[in-house]
Amino acid sequence: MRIQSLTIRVVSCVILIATWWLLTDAIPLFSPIILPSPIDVARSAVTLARDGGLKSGGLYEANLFGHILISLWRVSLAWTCAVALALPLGFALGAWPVVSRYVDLSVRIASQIPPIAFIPLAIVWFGLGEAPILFIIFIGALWAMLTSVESGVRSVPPLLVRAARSQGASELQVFTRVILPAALPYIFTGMRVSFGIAWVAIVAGELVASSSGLGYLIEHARRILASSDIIVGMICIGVIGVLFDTLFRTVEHRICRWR
Amino acid sequence: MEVKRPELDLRGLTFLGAIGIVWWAATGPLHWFSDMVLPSPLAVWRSLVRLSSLHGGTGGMLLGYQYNLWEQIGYSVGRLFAAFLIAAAIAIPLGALMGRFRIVDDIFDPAIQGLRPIPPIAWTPLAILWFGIGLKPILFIIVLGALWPMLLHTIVGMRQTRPLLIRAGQSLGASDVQIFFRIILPSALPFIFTGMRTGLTVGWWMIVPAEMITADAGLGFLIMRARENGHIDDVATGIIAIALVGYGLSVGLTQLAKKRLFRGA
Repeated sequence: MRIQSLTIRVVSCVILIATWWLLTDAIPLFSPIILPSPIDVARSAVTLARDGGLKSGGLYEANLFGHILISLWRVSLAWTCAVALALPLGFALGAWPVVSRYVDLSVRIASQIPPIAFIPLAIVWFGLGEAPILFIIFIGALWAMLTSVESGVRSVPPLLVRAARSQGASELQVFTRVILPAALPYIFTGMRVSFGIAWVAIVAGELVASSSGLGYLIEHARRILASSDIIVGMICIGVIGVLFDTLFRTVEHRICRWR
Repeated sequence: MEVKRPELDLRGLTFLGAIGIVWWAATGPLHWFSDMVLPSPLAVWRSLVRLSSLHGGTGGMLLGYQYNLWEQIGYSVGRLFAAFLIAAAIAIPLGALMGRFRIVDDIFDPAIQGLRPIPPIAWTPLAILWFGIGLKPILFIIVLGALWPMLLHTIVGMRQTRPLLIRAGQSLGASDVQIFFRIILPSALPFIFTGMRTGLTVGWWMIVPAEMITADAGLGFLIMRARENGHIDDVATGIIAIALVGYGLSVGLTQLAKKRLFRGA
């Protein structure tokens, strides 16, 4: 059963790629601009990784790794800021339900705004350059992190808090020994989810308003009709997203093992 | 499940009002921000009135700047629903087959696992090359965004039906079709619904960037054009409209589901 299922999966992959190759290279049903062949894509990947695309006359300004690093740097900077702000705010909202009853509606309405919608405002506020992109990543990551931390603190059973207090724990001890460990899984989930959102937000931001990064790479590749470069960029975006998701899950699993 | 009427969230509205007052004070009397940086609530109100009375059409990159806000909301929401229906029409049958039949799962799962990590917005450049500018690339991007959550939730929903219930149905002489429609589908509905709600939220998150990049109409298009023309008050109005419409959609879908879908549960 297992082997049979694995076989079907492998065959399915092979058929898919073979069909792609057949339709593009063997019987050129699609032009390379519409759908480049897998071989073109592989060749593009090598060129992009080596020197940033000779085909474009060096117009990408950096090679593939350069764009990846820029995107990663932006995302980690803005996401770290969002997490740093969301942690205390989320703890405050979780600890004082009265406050959250007032704030909840506003947060829920504001979180309906896709981060990218702030781009026009952010450009007016911060000018062109890094700041608007960092701002939209920050906004995108903020809401998911905030709601996760808040529900994490809410999820702590009051009995545990009362038990710790009755044993003479100070407020600080209650926080570090009871609330923080109990909320930790939620915090990690929030970090993972908000990083995922930030990763999508940066692609969108770089598509609209940037001259570097993976989002810019695929948008610029479209302008010069280098479809195989677009696909290389898309694959990089997908793979990096999965890598970080896995990384967060692993860390989460390690640290919250007692769960 | 208890059916709760939507209550007027007085505390939440109070806080919203407080934000409004601070916003008004910072832009009006205190002059912290000029109208070119952060438009005052009054400027947004005037822009709302003006945008509501304009008679604009779609497209017309060179025809100046005349877009009716409600028309643009209509375009965005209409596209969202169209894409949502297309995604549901693909995701629910495919998810049902993948959930119930091992072999279908084995065939489609590798391709899905390979495509799913690519954020829908990253398809934009390719979608433009394939479909040009306008309705089609947008539909494509939103369908992709809404498809994955619906598909995955449908698969999970189809798999969690208790085998006991299926055997009970079989032993009472129900046909396979009856078992599917009377037992498996109803028990998967809450999952399918969660997927649909997530799909709609993701779709709304996707439609704005998609419209900013490739569209000839819609809210994302409106705020992009407003910025290009230096109407920062219209940008603010557009963003508020995006927030309120999105919130309305998610509340509406939740209420609808509570009333209709789970009455029997």
